Amino acid sequence: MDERKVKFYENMLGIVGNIIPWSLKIPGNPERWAFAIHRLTGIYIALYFLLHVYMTSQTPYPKAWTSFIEFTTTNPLIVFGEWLLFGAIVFHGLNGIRLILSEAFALGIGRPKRPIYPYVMGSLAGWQRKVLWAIIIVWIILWVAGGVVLFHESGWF
Amino acid sequence: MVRESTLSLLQYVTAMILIIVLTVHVLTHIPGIMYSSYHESLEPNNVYRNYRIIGGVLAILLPVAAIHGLNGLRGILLELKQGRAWELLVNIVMVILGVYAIGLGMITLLRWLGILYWVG
Repeated sequence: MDERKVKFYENMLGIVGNIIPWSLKIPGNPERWAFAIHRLTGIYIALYFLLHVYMTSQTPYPKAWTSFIEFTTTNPLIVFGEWLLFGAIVFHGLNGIRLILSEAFALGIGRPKRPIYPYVMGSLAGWQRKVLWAIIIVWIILWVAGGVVLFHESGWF
Repeated sequence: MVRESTLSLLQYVTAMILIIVLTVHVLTHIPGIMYSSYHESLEPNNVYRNYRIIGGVLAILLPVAAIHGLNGLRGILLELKQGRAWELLVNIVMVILGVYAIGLGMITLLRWLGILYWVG
């Protein structure tokens, strides 16, 4: 075979091209959205963690600490960011429990079936999907409750 | 060289530990549990009190969160782009960030616990 006619494609789509598949619209597949949200919340929490470790190390004295806390609890952008963080932690934690059960312990993913049309994957038909819907409901409730507390204490209402 | 399956297992194990220790850490800031408000839980004396009460939990939380977070970030970055040089770069950056976060956090923790004293 003439190697000059062979065109090689690298298995790389770049950052943007790879972020888009996270939001692939697959009908009847909320796990895909959970997958994308889990990753986005993970990135947010990981970046916050690094900042959190740095900031707590920079406030050894009560005066500096107090002025830092006053700034962070009154700055609307930071308060909003904290609310997003709370939502991210709640979703990531709850969905993480679902992932541990279904991926690490193979619980709630159903059994494989004969591929008869219309084929429904067993892994998407187990009780893990009900757990996912429950997680979304609990997540929204806790996120709203967290927002009420956070914004009320910051004097937003 | 650590196998990917080992890193994957590590991710699940650290996640299970985090569910417990991070919940404890977050609960210390939820109004009505230890303090009447979120802002009160951030006051210097109360932060110091938290370190005293759950210092052991925080000492577990710090390395476990660093490993879980940075290993997760590594996985995401390697999903987005593949290549030997990219993998090496990501691995090096994650190890540096991990050493930095665990080292700095542990120094802060030991200082708050009175084991190390503030310098400067």
